[in-house]
Amino acid sequence: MSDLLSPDDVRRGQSLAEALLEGLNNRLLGQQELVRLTVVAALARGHVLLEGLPGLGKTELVKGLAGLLGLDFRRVQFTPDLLPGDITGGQVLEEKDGLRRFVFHRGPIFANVVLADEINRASPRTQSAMLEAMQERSVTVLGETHDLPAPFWVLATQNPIELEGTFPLPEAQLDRFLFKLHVERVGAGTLTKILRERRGGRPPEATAVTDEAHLNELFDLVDAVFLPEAVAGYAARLVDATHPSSASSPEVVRANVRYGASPRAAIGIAEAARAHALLAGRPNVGFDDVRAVAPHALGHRIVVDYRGKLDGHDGRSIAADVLAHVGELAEALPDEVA
Amino acid sequence: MSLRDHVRFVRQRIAAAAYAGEFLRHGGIALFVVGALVLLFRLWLREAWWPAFLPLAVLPVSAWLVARTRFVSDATAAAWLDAGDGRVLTALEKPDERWTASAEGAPTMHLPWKWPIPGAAFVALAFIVPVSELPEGPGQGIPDATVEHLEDQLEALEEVAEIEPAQVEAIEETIEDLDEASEASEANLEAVDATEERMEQLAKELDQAGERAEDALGNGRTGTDPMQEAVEKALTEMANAGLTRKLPPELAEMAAKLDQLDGLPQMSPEEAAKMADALQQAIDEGRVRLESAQLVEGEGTCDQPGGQCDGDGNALAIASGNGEPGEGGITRGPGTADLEFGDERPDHSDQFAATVLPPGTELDLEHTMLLGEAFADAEVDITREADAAKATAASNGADTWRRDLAPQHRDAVATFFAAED
Repeated sequence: MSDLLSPDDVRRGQSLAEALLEGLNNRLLGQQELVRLTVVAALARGHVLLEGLPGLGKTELVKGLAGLLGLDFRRVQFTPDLLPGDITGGQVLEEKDGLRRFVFHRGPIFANVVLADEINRASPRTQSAMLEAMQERSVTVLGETHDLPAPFWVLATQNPIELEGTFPLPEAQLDRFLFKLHVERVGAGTLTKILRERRGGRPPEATAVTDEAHLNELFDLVDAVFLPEAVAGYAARLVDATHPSSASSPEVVRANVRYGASPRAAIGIAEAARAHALLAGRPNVGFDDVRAVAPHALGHRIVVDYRGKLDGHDGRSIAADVLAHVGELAEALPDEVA
Repeated sequence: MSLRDHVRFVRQRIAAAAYAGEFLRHGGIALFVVGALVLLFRLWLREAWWPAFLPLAVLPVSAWLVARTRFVSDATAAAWLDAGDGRVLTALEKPDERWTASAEGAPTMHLPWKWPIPGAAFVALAFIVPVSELPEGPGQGIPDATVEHLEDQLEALEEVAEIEPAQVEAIEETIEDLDEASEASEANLEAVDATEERMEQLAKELDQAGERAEDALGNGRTGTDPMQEAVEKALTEMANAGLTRKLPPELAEMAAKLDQLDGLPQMSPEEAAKMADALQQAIDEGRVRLESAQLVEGEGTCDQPGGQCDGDGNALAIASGNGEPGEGGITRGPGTADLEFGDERPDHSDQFAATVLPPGTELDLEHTMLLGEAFADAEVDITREADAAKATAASNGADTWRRDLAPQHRDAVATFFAAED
């Protein structure tokens, strides 16, 4: 018997994830794909950048996720005058028993789920305060490092309009988000349902469907999902093909891309594909899982040059082209075989 | 069939498809080679065309050598079988009875059956096309013209002189062998040269005998020797050399019996002169025949100036360009007019008429005087100086924007500034 997850383990993990999925779908109507990918990112312990027009439910999605997970939730509204200390917290001089001393006051980042609302409105200095927190899951203030609670997610939002006075996220920060998800508008049918069922647009109260222990068990199950060598090779070839200097990259990459995705993207794809496979009730990752998560993990990591931008290319379209170009098989089949 | 067996089966099928495809492609090309060889073999080897099919023997090997680079691994075959959910791959890497995976299907082959058709049609045409009407190529033995030339030379010798039958028989046998030779080998070509030289040597001896007879006849005509004696001497020379075939019958008979006779019967001077003319005519006719067979070089074939057909004559002809207008030469130009050097034409002389220059003048320093001295600041043109400084100063980049940017340079400028975006 191998060390593959047992069918019972997979069923248990799948049911937990599906409960989360169902709860979020009840809270956010008509956004099944967005909800599924958000849950996948959560199971993969990855941060998510949500981009979409105002009023599409980005904030509600994050609040709902925190509520369903039963975890501590903080929201930070990013503004141009926000300072790093406003996020991380800082040393405050306090007097106690006649003694004065500096005491570290934790900022809003010390929560399990942090909603960084309109993250691109803060200055680069403030944005960079998130770098260590997102990667190392710790905060260093005045040489003193403070661990963040586990699990820890940053779900940031930004809207693609009203860009005056905003600061585009630097590549280093973008790379720390597992997914960049585009929140699309919902159809008339969904709107009708919202109007009838949600008075004032208020979603139902989010009741926790899991606790910390079950959540950790879910993470363990995701970690135990098996990644076959051929599938790992496929993910690696996808990332490699985003680089214009790669021999396997398509022409659209060579002509329009300045920098391709980082190794962190490949790691993120593998982790997200594991979560996706568990959600599908399988003990192993397949090509389908990689195909499902790769566009969202690659799009924001591909740096398009000015020619590509002028020609209407963006990271998402390039990632789609890469997926269409790179085959699942490491070796090409002979022409005589269909 | 187990999963692993199924993967192996798929892999073998892919390999078989690659091999069969290469075999058909190589076969299509090889058949064209075979067709071309069939044509060549039918032209030169006539019936022995079957070796033309030998290139087909290497077909299996060449197809395998190319196809093996396209064979795939078990992992690729398994990935092909996997439906996208990774179950097959996982079952092969981590077999687990709690999770079952099955694989079905096999890759469909699409073999390039049409590839060999044009080649096969070409081979069929190579057998059908008539090759007997094609002109004979080189390498088919000694050319007929050469053999005919040798036969003509032998015929000329026999027409002019009595040649020993054994010698004639030997030459005829050689010519016959050369005529039947299947190839123009080095030995056969050597035999052609040797036979030709042999006959030329015979002709040369005959020619020398004729010259000696002519000399004797010349002595008789000039009165150096009595005509009776000169004729007898000439006839003796001709009889000894066998140069009697062109003689009138009575003279030929006389020459044959000359040994038995004690000299020619006494003849009158007229009879002797008549006989001398007959001998001279026989000598001339014999020489003409030998010349026509190219056995000897006669004066009649020499068209060089002065009748010199040796090396000096040829050199003279080349140097003078044969004296013909337009043919050039080494010592004169190709034109017909001779170059002459004389006085200049009058109009040219006027154009370059000599002119006497005025005498030079020198400053008369002794009769100069100082009118006064003054001091003043140097006059500086500020505007012009600024322009000069600007031309040499380092550019601050502003000028770049004021310049018209050529279209072909816009990409370079855009690339440079895009790096800072």
